[in-house]
Amino acid sequence: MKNKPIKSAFYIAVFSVLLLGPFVTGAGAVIDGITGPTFNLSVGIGRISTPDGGSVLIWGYAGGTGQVQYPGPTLIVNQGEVVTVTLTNNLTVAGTDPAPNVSIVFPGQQVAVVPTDPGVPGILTAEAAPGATVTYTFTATHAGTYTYYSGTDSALQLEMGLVGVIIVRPVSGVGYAYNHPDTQFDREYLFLLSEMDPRIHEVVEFQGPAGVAATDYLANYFPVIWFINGRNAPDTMSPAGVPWLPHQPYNIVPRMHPGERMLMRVVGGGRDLHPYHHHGNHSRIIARGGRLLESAPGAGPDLSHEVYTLQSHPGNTIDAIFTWTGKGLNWDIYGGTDVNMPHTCNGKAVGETQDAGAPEFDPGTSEYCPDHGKPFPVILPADQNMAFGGFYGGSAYMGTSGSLPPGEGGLNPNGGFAYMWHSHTEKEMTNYDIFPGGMMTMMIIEAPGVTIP
Amino acid sequence: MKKTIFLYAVRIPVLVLTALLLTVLSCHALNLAAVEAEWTPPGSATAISMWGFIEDPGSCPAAPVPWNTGPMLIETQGTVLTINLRNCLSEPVSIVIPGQMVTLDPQVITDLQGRTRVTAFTHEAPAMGGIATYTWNNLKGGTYLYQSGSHPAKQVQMGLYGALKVGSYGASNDVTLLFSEIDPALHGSLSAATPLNYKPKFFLVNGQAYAPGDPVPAITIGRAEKTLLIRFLNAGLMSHTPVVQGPYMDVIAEDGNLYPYPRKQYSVMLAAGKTMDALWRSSEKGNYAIYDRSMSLSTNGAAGGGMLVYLDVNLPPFPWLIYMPAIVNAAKAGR
Repeated sequence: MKNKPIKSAFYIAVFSVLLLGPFVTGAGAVIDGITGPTFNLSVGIGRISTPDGGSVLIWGYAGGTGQVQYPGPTLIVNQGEVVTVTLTNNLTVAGTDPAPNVSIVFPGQQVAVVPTDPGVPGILTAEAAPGATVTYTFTATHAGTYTYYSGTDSALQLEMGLVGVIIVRPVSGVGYAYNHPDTQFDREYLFLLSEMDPRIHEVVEFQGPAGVAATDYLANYFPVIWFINGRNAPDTMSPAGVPWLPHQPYNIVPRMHPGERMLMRVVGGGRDLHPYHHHGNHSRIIARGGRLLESAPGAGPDLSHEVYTLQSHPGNTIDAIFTWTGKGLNWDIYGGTDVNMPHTCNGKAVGETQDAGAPEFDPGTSEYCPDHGKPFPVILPADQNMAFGGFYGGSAYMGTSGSLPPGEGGLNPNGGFAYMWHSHTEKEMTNYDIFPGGMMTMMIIEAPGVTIP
Repeated sequence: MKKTIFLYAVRIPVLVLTALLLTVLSCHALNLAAVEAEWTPPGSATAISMWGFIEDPGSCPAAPVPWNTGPMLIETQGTVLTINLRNCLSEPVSIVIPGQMVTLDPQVITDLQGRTRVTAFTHEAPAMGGIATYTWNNLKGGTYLYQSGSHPAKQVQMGLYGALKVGSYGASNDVTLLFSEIDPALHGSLSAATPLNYKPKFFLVNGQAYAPGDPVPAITIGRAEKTLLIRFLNAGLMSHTPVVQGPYMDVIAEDGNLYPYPRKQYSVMLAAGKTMDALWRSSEKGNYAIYDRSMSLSTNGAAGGGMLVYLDVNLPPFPWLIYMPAIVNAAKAGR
């Protein structure tokens, strides 16, 4: 609870800029996962929690000695590495039937089965029988974002939770999505979009997988909970790895500073289309399915294009670059003439005129200098006439907090600009029909001095 | 089990077909019939009533015929296509080909409130044996669906659809994958046939639903290291996302329109009514699965069936054969 104006973040920002000069572009690596190129995965049962207090049985991949998790561990490898994935089937099921075989397919990769651990033949790939293993191998020839999932009775096993992401880092190194300068980024986030129909999970829990065939649920599919990185909002915004979500270790709270380039790795993890809508600005799609949108090899993403809703296809991936500045807002994001927030744009204080030919953006704070000093163009009603959200810090200026009634605010302690990012199929922004929830999170533009992990 | 396979190879006409249920018609004046048909799901003894296009037998069949997708129509760009349609059904039927230019003659009725309502996109073959003729001048290259243009919300999902391929983008070997669905609840009583409650239970590729436990339907492709044109068509009412295991495709066309640049993809988003064309080349022999990542991978509720086929690259590459590398450029230059 804050009921006094605080201005700390922005002053830190100004001093940081003065002391450090232009920001060093080091890529923030906040995509949780496990690094390869050798992985030991297993399949077992677990339970996920939904924000309405529910609990759903899942089949999940686990990494090493870790917990079964939804989604499976994000496998992070380097381009050119020979990736080896050994899968152990620890699945147990209700009923009298044995547990099913399980497997992994890696779309876009040229996969071979290791002859010394061939598993048993399946329809899409080799499988691990109950209690047994299978080992796959492929060379990560291309950088990019990929997915993996069960290739055994996929309609059921994918629904039960057997899906994950592979990230192949390019030889160009840290801060590159692909081997081209136009794919550089400052931060990256993963958005694995999926859905579940809990009726199927209940049948599996009480009758075993054979019970599903007696229903029409796989065809008459009716999901009611929607996920980003295995969590439903608002759990999406809880920290990663919290103990009360032991089988849902990944979160998603995208944060960035003005002017930075955020790489969005968007993965269609379920069976439905999910139009992922990001407020704040357009993004530029640079790749689909792990391949740059380029007119010729080496051309870079010259066929990239901007959207404000990323149409995620089942089993496919999108890499998009999102940027944000205050351009177009028509007020100084760091404080207009109506408040005393001393800062400069291209070295000019609030109220001073920009030099002719000055850059559009301040090189340190990415402020849009033509709006320098412009006050927020709306006179806000008195507090008693407003409804507040938890992400409102009491000020229209970035890095600034203002007065709020007791109990209001508190979710945006640095006074950033918060934008809801969500499925544009609006009913997917619910948990069992309760809004808000589901496939939703908040993206926060933080003032330049705010530390973002 | 029966295998529905259709292969079309100009340079290698000796490819072996293990079965050929789809009739291939390559003349320019075609005689089709819209008939009562039946389709028996895998593992079931109960046939589902269907409507289908078949090669015109000259008179209306006395009993329902086994249902399949309509005959594959193979034409060349710029030619004239004429279809004479005999309608053996109980209501008027017509044929439209979305994407091919033709002057349509919409059929209308006046409803009880005096309003004019369109019932068909173009002229119709009258019910119970009527005949109509349809002509398309100057066919455009690419891959197209042909389907009923009369009460299409009902008649198309009853089974009145097929594939038309015009030219081959310079590829010498092609395969057609026609995706569709059947909701038996709409087929038992025709009066109930409304797509409002459409929830298909059977998911078909080329008129065939793979059932768990059966051999996976395999389409014989021939040599590895030979460019294959894969034509994807969706005659269903739902979106599907076919994934090709193995090498990436160069997706070159959508709805018969060439992309300015090929797109490297391992799957395509195949919305209802859409066609996509892709070039694909495997370097080794083997079975390469194509399946629906939208998870129409069940058969009447049982997991493991549905939209799944193998591309059976059954021969290793010719060691001595030199291939044209720039097939895409050839395609861009004019198919």
